[in-house]
Amino acid sequence: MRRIDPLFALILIGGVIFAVVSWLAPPAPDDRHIVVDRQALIEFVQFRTRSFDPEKAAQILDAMDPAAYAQLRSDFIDEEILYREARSLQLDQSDYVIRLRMVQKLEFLNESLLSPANPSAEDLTQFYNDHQDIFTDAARISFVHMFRAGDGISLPPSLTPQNTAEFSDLFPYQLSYADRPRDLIEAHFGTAMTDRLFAPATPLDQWVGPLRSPHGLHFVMISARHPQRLIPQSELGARLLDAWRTEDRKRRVAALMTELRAAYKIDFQDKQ
Amino acid sequence: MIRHHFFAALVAAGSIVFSAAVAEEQRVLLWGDTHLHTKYSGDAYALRNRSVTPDDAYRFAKGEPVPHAYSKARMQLRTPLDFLVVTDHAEYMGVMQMVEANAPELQKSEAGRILLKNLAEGQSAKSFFMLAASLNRDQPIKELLTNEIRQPVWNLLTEASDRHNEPGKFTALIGWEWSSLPLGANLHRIVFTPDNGKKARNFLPFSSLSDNRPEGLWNWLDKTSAAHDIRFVAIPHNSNISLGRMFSDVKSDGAPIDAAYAQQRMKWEPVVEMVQVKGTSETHPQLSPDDPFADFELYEKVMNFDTKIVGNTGIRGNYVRDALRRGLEIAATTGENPYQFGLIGSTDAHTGMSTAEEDNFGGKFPLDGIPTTKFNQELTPNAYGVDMSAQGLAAVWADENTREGIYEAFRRREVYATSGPRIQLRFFGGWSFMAEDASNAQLAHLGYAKGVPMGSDLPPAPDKGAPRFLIHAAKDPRSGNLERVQVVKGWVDAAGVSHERIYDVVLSDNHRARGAKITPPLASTVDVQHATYSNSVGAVQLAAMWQDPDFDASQKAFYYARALEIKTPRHTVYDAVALQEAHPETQHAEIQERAFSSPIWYSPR
Repeated sequence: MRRIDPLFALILIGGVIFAVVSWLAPPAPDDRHIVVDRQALIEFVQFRTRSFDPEKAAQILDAMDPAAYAQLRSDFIDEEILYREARSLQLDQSDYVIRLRMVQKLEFLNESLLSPANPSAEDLTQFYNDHQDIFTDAARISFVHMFRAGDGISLPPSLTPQNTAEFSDLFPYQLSYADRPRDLIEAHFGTAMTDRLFAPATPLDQWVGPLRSPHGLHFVMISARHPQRLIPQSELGARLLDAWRTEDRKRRVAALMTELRAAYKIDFQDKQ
Repeated sequence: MIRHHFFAALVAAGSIVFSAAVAEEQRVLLWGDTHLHTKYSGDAYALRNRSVTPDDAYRFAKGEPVPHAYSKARMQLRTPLDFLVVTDHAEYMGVMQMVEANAPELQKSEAGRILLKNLAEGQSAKSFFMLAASLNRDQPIKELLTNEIRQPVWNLLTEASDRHNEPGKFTALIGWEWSSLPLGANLHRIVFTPDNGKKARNFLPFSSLSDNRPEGLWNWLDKTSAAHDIRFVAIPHNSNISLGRMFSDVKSDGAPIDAAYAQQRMKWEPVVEMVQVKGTSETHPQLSPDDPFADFELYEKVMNFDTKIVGNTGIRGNYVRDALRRGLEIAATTGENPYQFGLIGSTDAHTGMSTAEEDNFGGKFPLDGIPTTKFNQELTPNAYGVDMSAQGLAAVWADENTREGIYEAFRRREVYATSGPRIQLRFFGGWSFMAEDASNAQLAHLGYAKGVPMGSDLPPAPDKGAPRFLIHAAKDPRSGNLERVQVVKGWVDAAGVSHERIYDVVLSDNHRARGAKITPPLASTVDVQHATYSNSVGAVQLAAMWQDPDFDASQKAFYYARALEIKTPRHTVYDAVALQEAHPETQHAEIQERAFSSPIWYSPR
């Protein structure tokens, strides 16, 4: 059996509905009157090009050859007819996308209308205690290293940092890392070696190795290492206030919504 | 502080020789974006950025998740940035927010009352229409440019930047965009300052509604920096859609560029943003017919009302390489080079999210941030999300991650551009580099010790010999492997005419083609049907010492390095696969991401 193209089916169904509704409720006489004047066409040209200069639009309109002008006029009329028919079908009222846009717009308006509030010291402390995850600094490290490319299988079994001749290859990234976050170290050295570098058992201020990365072998001297840490409230200053206000605004928008909801009588008629 | 501790440890360990190398290598590579818009830019707001604030933008850059302004989906960077400048448009700064908030100040003017009426009638688009029209006609609506409208947003922007600035960890700088667009010619500049909000609040950001000539901006920078003891850097962008005016050979009044113009321009504009969402402005195939890689993320959708103008292909004055050449030509006659600048990339995203990765791109505007709208929503005249590029980034070799450190790096032009991937690129020029320096573990140390870094002038030439360059590129650990490193040279001959040439310096996989000046690309591993690629070809790092084989000591010249990745899928491929649609033929499905160093210049003694 020949399958019907879904888009064709949709247009067909739409056409039938359109015909029925048009017959039942034809647009009011005023809605059947389209005025094509110069102002309307200038506006149409501007919207179409999304560039907003009426004088230039007028110049373009005047410079059009008869065929282009006729086409523009025809396009304008088609668009106007489709818009009015869609409106008479009340598509502007029932279309879910339009509805969502309006809802979204009001939400944003609500958000912008709320002026920032001033929390008490207790409010801030409470907020800090409840949101420690967003006030955490990544683990950081400072070290230098020497590098030997390849898997190192041919190396003598007892390697020391004094074997510098064996560890003088060009490393793709840097020889020294000063107070860099774990994420960057992991990108350059791989997870396994990064775990070793950040392990509390790996000593500071002495050569350690060889450690293996995806690029080869390394002797490393770590000078400083800071584990992931919770930033003390005293260091946060305005950042804490800013985070509190962001959260507060969300909370107040939600409250506004609850308040609005209270003004409506909601009748549940679905199956519960 | 950290550095001193570092050396103490090394010396104590008896590794004195090694520590010297480390000392020179201490300049750290920082990644950032100096061009990002939030909901406080009128066009961003109109094209659906109603939610992402400067605070959100900084949080996102630091690696925190933030909801996308249009899709509301959670977005997050895989690798956080080291610095960010939020640069909302100075033009009509604050007006859309006052309309949105129904601010009583607007009642004071006729224009303000119209905006409020539009809001009440649900006709916000008409408001945007009105403001945009005045920009196009260069007829500012003065009542909407009062201090009481502009100041609150400027306060908010500068306060957010100060609040998020964490010296040593993350640098937030204060900036804005001066968006001059005379007759559709894009002359836009970013302006940033390394100074703090207190100083910045002594003035309001200079807008093109006050003066749309670049000379007007520089005059204002001269005056304001002296009056308020504040420093600035201005960065031109999108020369590709400037209708030939960004790198012209004449001033705004049509008179030929002279030495005074060149000096004032170079005082304020040491760096150009060459790579961004609206395309790459390096060069064009018509300007560089011998460069097989010139056709990379080109963008020719001029922001002009007249839809008959669809491109400005090949016009001189639009592209950076041509400008570097023209600069040598102008210097040959006036003695001053107006186009001796370094290069960076940045996004110019209007989403408040600095995303430059093909597989994690938030769009130019929020509106094109999801697959369907990327393909079918017009953004600016004739331009769709599909035409936009998921790029670029600013790479900075800085002494430290602070406002000061970044500013100084911009001033000495030790910065470079990438199309998004974090390709590490070192480029040193000198007269005594040896081939073995390129495989030395202490390459960077040798680079600084025996030569000068990118952005510099070569030291005076010895009696004989040609300049030598030490080049090292390392792949982004989270992106494609590297395919090649090239040097682009430009020079001016005795007749004052400039020329250019591309050299393949080092290639991965030993694939140099015999007899060909430029080796064709490696075979692609991209699977367009599934939006995948494989790092089975290419290299993790490429390094070489290269000596100019065509050097003429009497000719002024510039050199810059270009590192290319293997082919990977363009951002639109991921969307096409998501939608299970064919990739649009108007765009390449496979691209070779790249890094461009700032140039090094040679002048005869």
